[in-house]
Amino acid sequence: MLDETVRQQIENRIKVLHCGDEKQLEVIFSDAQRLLVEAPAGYGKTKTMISKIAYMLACNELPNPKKILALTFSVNAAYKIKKDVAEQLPSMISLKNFYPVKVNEKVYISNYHGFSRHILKLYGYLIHENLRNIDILRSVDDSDVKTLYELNIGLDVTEAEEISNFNLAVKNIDAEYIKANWNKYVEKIKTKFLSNSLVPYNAILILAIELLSSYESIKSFYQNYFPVIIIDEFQDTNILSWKLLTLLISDNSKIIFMGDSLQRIYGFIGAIPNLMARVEKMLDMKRIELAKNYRFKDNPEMLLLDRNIRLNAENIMNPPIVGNAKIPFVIKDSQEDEVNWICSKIKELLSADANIKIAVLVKQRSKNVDMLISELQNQGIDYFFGLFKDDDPEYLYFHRVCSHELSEYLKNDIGRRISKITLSKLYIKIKEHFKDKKTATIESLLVLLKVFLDKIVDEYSFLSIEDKITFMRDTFENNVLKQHMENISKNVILSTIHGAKGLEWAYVIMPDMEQYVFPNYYSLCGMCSFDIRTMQGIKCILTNPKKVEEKFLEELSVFYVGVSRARKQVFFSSSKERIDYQGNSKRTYISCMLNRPGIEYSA
Amino acid sequence: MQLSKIHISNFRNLDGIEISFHPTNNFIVGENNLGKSNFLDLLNILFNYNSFRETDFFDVNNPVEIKFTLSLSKTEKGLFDDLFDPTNSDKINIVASQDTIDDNIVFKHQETNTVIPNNLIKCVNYINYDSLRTPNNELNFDKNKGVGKFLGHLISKYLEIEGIEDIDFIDSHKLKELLEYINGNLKKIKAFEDFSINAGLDSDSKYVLAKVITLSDSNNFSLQNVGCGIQFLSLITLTILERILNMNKTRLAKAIMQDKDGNNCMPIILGLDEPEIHLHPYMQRSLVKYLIKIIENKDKNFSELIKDIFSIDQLMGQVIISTHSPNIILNDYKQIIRFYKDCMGGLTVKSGFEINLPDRIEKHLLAQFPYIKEAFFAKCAVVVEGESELSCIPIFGEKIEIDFDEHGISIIKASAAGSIIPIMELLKSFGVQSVGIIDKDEYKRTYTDLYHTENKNFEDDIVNILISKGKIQVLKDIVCEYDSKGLDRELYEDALNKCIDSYCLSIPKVTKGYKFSDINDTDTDMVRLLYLTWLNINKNCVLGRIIGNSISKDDIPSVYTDAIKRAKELSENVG
Repeated sequence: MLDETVRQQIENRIKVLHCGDEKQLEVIFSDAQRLLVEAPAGYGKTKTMISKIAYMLACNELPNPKKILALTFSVNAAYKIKKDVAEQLPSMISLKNFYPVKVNEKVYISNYHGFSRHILKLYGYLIHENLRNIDILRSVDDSDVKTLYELNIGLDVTEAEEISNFNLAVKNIDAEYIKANWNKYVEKIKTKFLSNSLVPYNAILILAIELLSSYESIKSFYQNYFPVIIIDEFQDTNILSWKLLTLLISDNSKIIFMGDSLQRIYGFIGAIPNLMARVEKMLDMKRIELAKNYRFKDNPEMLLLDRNIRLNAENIMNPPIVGNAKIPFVIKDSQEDEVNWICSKIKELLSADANIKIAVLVKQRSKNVDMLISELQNQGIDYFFGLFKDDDPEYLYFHRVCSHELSEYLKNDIGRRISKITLSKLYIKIKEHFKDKKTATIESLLVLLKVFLDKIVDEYSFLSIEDKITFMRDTFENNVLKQHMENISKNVILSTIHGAKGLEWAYVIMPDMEQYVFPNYYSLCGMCSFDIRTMQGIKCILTNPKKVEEKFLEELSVFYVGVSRARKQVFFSSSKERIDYQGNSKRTYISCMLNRPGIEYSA
Repeated sequence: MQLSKIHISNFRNLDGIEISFHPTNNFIVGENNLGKSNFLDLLNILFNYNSFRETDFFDVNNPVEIKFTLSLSKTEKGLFDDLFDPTNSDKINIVASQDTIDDNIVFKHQETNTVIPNNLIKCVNYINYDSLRTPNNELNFDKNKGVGKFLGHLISKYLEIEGIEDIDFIDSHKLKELLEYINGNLKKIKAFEDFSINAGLDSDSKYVLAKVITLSDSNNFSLQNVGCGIQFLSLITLTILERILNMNKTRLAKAIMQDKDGNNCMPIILGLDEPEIHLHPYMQRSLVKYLIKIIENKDKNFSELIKDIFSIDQLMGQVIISTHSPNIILNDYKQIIRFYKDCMGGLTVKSGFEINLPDRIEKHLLAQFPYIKEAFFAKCAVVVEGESELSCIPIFGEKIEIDFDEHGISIIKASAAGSIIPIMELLKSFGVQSVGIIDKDEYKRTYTDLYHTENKNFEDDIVNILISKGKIQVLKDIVCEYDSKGLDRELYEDALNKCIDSYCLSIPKVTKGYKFSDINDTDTDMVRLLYLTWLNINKNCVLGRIIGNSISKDDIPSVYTDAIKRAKELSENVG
């Protein structure tokens, strides 16, 4: 229904919009059947994706009534894209004489869990009748044997162990174990969990995979229904989401995988290593790398830092560095001095602009961080406590309570209204639950919950009820309330780098850039030795990272994710001492991460 | 898209009815007043309106509930998002229900209870056509209603392409002269002069063209004055075009789908209520064949038309016709859906598409189909083997005062003895009662209501009964009436000997030919031989009629009177 002139108009509009960025335009206009797009943070990935979708629709590449499937790993990313598409896509294609069906109906956007939930809600009854009510099934943590055993659903210790081992195998990418125990696991989920109206988080993907692989007609329907599949955050794909993907892709599917291999920091929960390079070969994909960093286009030093970190990842021994990035870095004699410097830096930034947002991003919780916390309090700096550990029982329990209260609400409300009033009732209910347990974590989580629920009825009011429910469910079950930290009204946020993935602030401070802190003992320092590193004055320099390539790359990814959270500027600091886990002061060196080729500072 | 199954609850007289459909074409047959038109009304309400009215509820205290299954082609899959039948994703099962007369119809996906928006259901594009439409009103360019709208659209489309307006067709110079003349005269009227009233060109010059263009046939008869038949033929196709024209842009964007080659395809289901009314038998079949061609995109001209005017490359659809005419039915019993009353007086529907016969029998039945179509309209059929019986038995019926038409009894020729039982079985599966009469030597197994001749065959029965009753004169009269040579007809030696063999007559072979006049009435063996030989050579429907008329009521062999009486009994038990 679309003629050549309309296509031409949209093509021109896109060219203007992308200011002649050749790589972005190459992605958008490429007719490759399988496309792999390497897209670092700030390189215009989402914008490119939306233009690509617009262009495909404009070129009639998507036959009515088929849809584009866009999936991401994290729930928050999925809904961010959903919002961007809803806001930007219609105006991109609104042209005279072109009447597309409501454009947003053409694109199904979700995270893997959300999509799995959707198909299970429709056809999961074929596996177990209770999946019809997937919205109100209670989620359980299946990693801990004791928790599983105490559920009292007829699991003996061996069975509880089997469930927990399966969970572990997913994290460890143990494909053989998963394959060998698949049927047993599914059977147990059916008989023990579903029949008790429970469902473990991983089981949602597993049951969706089971449904698609057991029912050829369902699988072929979806393959035909989604002729175009776009995956964002592809580097975070784990073994289950990959399996799900392979079931959705047919020989005729057009696929576009977007991601940044350097942002793969979830290796420890099962993100498949090196997946982008592997699928490029396996599926014979055309690879395009976005080349222009827009975030730092007016900040040459940050631009260079971003580029040089990436060059270090591409060629770890001899990165082809053209010019050094000069980074703002201070080193203090003591940890005390360092935290003082951090506080004064924060005050300085705030005095220039009282509305500015600053994130202090640390590698992990430590005694160093405790000192920073008490100093922030001393100096009366109002900050948000976002140092959640993914396996912190309090953090997990809070999400369980949210999830449970949501189920209770959905059970009782036939009309399933999701309004300001109903969500504030939900909030009060959850708050009540914790009225006697006001720890820093709980306080912070309550703030995040409020921010999140407000978002649902405000920023995300355009979502359907089903989508709103799924968004909440997946956020609670995936324990990712922390993903809403960037919307906190406080100016200062204290978080781990992992917790900050996908989020952005104007300024980022990365303190404690020290040996045995960043990297820490487990991530790299523990296996480092004299033959691969050298100490130059107060600097620790890795001379042979090739020897610890995998660990090094993972650490560099974390470093890169931290750096790329800043919209304007990142500041680094360290001290000559670190406080170890026993509270003893130890001498330390400047982190090897800062001593890579292409990074320059005065110390 | 095709309607493949429907189950009806609480809608008018169709409560509890379930029907399966042929994917291409369906003929709904049955007596008057059984609900055939109700059924097409149901489809019309379901796919084109938002609610059932009070009169549609069989019981207003209960909901109307319609379960139906649609088949979707690969191209159409996804129209209902990702709702489908998980055991066969080519299908979707939908439940339409309306609780009370004040509600609207709500459509839900049967397996998941997901609500399906009404505007998606309307993309089925059900086009309802009944013969009560008045073509006169619509076959005009200037009437902006019905198909007139389409004709008007052609004018606008042309004007748009050419970039001109109606007014450009008028010679302005000549018009000016005309206006001057009119105004010159009008001025002479005082009021016109006083108030400067002038004749001028109507600013709304649109429709000028529509008013001067008319449809006429080759004899230049305006289409409004030609026979109804031609009007209807034109109207039916124009109805499809009008439907497309009436769809708004959003609806078109939804209902037009692209196949893998990028062709624009549109689903369509055509429902026609008694389209035969104004058409002669050949025209009836030709209409149906034409519509099927349209639906299957095999009519080049029509395909070109919708391509040029609407950019539609293909239709994907189905035809459903309710009819009283055996003539309109094409030669496939799978396309027949029969409405009838069962012995309890309840409405029953049988779908040919659900009947599965062994290949061999099916092939045979399809060959005989043109001769048995009529039986689908009957209450009871009498199935005989040959033409003589076909024309003779209804006359026997009249003689024993059982009028076949009055009782809804149809007589069917099976052409071969082996087809009699399969035909009876086929009829039975459509709920048509039947009585069969088979030659004694072909009677191999007992079958309900299957009678066999007393002697070898029909001819043998006639000859035997007349000889035994001493009524050889009747046989003579039959020969004289049929055969121009009368009793001087000579039957040759070969023919006679063949007859002796085939009837196993216990008489010696003849050595020469005989004329009827050569034989003495008392030589019953020879009388029998000659008449059997002659009847076998000449058996056809004309002879059958003569036999029927010649034999008196009392001389009809009892097998025939028994069979006819049984047929009457069966027809009376129906409905």
